[in-house]
Amino acid sequence: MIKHTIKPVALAVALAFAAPAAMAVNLDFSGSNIYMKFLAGDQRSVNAGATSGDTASGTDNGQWTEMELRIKAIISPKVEAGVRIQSRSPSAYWTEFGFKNELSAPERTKFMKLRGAYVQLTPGYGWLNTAIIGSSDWGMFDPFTMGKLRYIDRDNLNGFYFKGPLANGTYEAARVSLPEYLGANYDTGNAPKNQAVYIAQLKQKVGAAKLTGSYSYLNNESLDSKDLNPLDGKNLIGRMKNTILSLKADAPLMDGLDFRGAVHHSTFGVNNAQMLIDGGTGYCATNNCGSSTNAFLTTGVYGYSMTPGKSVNDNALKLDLDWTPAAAGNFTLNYQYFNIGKGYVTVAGARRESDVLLTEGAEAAWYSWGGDRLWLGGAANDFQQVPVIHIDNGYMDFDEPVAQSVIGWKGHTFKFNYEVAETPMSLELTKVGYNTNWQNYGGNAATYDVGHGRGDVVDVYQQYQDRSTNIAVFKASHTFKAAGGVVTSFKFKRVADKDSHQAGVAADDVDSKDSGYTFSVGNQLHNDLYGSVSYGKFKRDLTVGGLKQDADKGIWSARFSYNLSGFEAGLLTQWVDGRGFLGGKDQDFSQYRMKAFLKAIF
Amino acid sequence: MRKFLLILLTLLTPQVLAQGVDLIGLTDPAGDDWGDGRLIYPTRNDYAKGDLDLRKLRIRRDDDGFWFDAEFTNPIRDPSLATTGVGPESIANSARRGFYSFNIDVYVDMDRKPGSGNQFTLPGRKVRIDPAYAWERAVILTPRPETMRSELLDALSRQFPDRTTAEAEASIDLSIFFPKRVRVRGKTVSFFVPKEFFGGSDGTDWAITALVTGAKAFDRLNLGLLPSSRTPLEELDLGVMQPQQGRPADTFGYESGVSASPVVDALLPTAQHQTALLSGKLPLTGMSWGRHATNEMASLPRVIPVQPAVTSTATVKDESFFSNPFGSLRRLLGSEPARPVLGNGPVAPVRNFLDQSAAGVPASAVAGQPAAPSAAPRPFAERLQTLQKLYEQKLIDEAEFKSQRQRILNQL
Repeated sequence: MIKHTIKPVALAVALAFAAPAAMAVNLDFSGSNIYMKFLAGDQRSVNAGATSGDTASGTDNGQWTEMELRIKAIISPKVEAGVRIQSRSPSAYWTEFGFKNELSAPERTKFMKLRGAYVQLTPGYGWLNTAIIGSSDWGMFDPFTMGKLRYIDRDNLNGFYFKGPLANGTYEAARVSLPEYLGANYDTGNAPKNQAVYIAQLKQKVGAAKLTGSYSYLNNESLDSKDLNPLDGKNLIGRMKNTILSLKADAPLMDGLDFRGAVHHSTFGVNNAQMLIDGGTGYCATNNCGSSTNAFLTTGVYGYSMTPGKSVNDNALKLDLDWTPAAAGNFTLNYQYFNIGKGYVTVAGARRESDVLLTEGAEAAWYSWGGDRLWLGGAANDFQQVPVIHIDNGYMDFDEPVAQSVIGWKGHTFKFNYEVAETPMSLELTKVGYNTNWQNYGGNAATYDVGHGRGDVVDVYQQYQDRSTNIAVFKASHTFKAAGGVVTSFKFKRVADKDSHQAGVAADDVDSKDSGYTFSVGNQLHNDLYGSVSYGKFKRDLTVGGLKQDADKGIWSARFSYNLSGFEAGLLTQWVDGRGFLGGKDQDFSQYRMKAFLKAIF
Repeated sequence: MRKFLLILLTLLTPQVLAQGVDLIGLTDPAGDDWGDGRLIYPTRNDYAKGDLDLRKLRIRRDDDGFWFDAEFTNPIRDPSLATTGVGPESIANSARRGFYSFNIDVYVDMDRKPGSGNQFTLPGRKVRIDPAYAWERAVILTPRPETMRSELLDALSRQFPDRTTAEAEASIDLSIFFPKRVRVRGKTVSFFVPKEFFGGSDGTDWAITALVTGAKAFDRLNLGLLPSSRTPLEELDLGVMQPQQGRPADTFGYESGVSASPVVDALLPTAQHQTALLSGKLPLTGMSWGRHATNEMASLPRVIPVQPAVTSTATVKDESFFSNPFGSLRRLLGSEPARPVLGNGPVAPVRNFLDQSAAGVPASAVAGQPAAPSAAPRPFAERLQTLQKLYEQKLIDEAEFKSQRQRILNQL
């Protein structure tokens, strides 16, 4: 006998959505969930009341709960509406017994927030398949143009989206309301409420080839301070403009050889006179965005800005070839050429949770080395490359992938994949040069003396740079048949990065060689439980101005994953031990950190 | 480090020698990842047309068992780059085999006796199999094999409270296998089934019915507001995306009409076969080879002919540095294969648990599954009428109509 109970919350919501007798509405709560996170670490860092951040990421202590209710109402075959209601309590620790400090600190009150709402129409017209009004993660476009947002925010950008058939493919068009932090100086001026990014995308199939063309347009305007007549509306004046024209092709050249190509052309215009007027207000004026740069005095664009200081146009190019020789079934070769211009600007591009290049990039075990002590062990996940200077690595847990900017990168990646004796192996070889290799910003300080403090390891735009990077990564894995399957894997990575910065000045020369290996063993311990243990050894040979600043560390990791129907739990614990150049001298260091999560999805 | 590599080399060397024997290579038409002709891909940005478009299925045998290599139109998406949408953790936490977006079912008819075997498919697939391809063994590739097996057993224990868990487990494990040795490379996923599962059969005279469905990113418990009249098995999706009318983000959609089948692509000779069978809610046919191969293999140009297999049980050395190329598969001819051993002891047939029509439940009560067809082949007149309807509805062009019409007439 199957028992079902009517859940009180669901019943209340259903009654709230009760439709007239003539119209039956189907309600779907798929994806609603309870999410809990547990952090433990010996830095004892807590979220002391930040007003941002999700579930107190960016710390290493505490336990939290979040609840999310998703409601999708299928009103008719052509109309659907949905909402996301989620608790948002970055500082509501379990130890705060439910009501501590709630009067003085609203971030502890476990308030429920409307995280997104949308209406979707599928009218079935010959020219329109879908219209979405409201929230979306905007992942339908390319990371180089309109990027997907960080997961917690993915419903927080709203707009209009239309998609329909066109010739042998589709068209898409969208107007996305511009968030007020996406602009020069992380600000969109003093008339922000009706600013938007417009984007149109066409996809066509020509024979075996898939072609995509898109155009995005952003015109950010401020109130015209010279307009003193209140009787005919208020004039606006341009502040910043960003357009991107993209062409992409995806086609098989022959059996076993596939080609993908993408070229993006960006134009970025900034009204410096207006920026100087606007510079007295907005985010950067009150948050000390580094206004002391010389460039700011003439451009009005702060050193912290996510955009260049002056108008600039540039291109981004990516070509991929994937080859699987017919005569060698166990071998494949992936090749990528990339060239992203130093002046390539995409204000609405992907800031994280996208990976636009084939290469693994820098060694993540040294992420934020020498910075926040929370990251003594680096990041426990690989870098992901994004095409913006305003990357977003804020409020992260140590097990999340780290975003790395590729603005100015140019080079080649070869990735060889081969399998023998049920042992898949891969070898990546990457050579990176930089379009940002110059002396004194190439004479364009006003344009490029920006983006400071937002880089992953170093700022994207260095005043003096003469840099090259070589990356080699070897991986292999094998499953032994004992004990139901023992999964082993091995990885060796070496990153050689050299930058002599200012010509003729040896004191600023930086030469680093990061090398490390990781070996892991895993097993399905039980039908529902998988566990693995790994050990990684990482060495950094770093010379700065002739001074050795070496470091090395070993990291033991234990990882578990537990799954039942509708329930998922995971745990990652790391013990870090090493010695390195910190605080001006060689010192021993160690770190313990643990993150566990569980999700109940209903 | 050197000692470790030496040990690794010693352990792996014997496996280099046993590359195996190619049994069959089958192709599927391009661009038919539309189910019954109406399926629309989920609108979420990590799904695109071609992702679930099965192009080739190759089966090879080594000393330990059978490898299935399935190739799709698009490269297989990496779960480490995808999330469930709940929390920042990637899908790779639970989908650890290198893929997450699809399931592949392979139902194997080992004895080639029409009507002997099972005609049902697992819960969530909502399609039956033609008696001519009734299966004895099912291989179910899914991103979370342990969880799916547990879900199935859990549903059975609730559906049949008077049967023990051990009994259900024995029956399921005898006939249904969830591969765990899986490798993904580019557009191809390879999965391994031990030879013991096929009871000694060498694979030289089989038929298979293979189908692809979308895999759900997460399971959920049904939040029913009212008591449900459906049985646990009827409610069970078993990790398969169920189409919804419209253009949903997290599952397949369709624009109008009756509910669409969850099957996105089926391994069939032509796209028209697939469209006709799924839109007509007809039992799926499959592909066969060996001594009991049926006409669809001989008359269809898309099937790669295979050569006789080596029947010796000695290990076969790979003669070249690389393994045997995909293009040189051989059709197997051989003596009567050993009949599969169905195991000792009184293990209940799996149909007693999973085939709702066999359990006396009216076919109409089986969620989404059409009534079991009669064992007799469809009359020629009926087949010609179906073909005529497809032509009138412009689902096939004149050349295809004439070709298929002649093929049917040749069988008179």
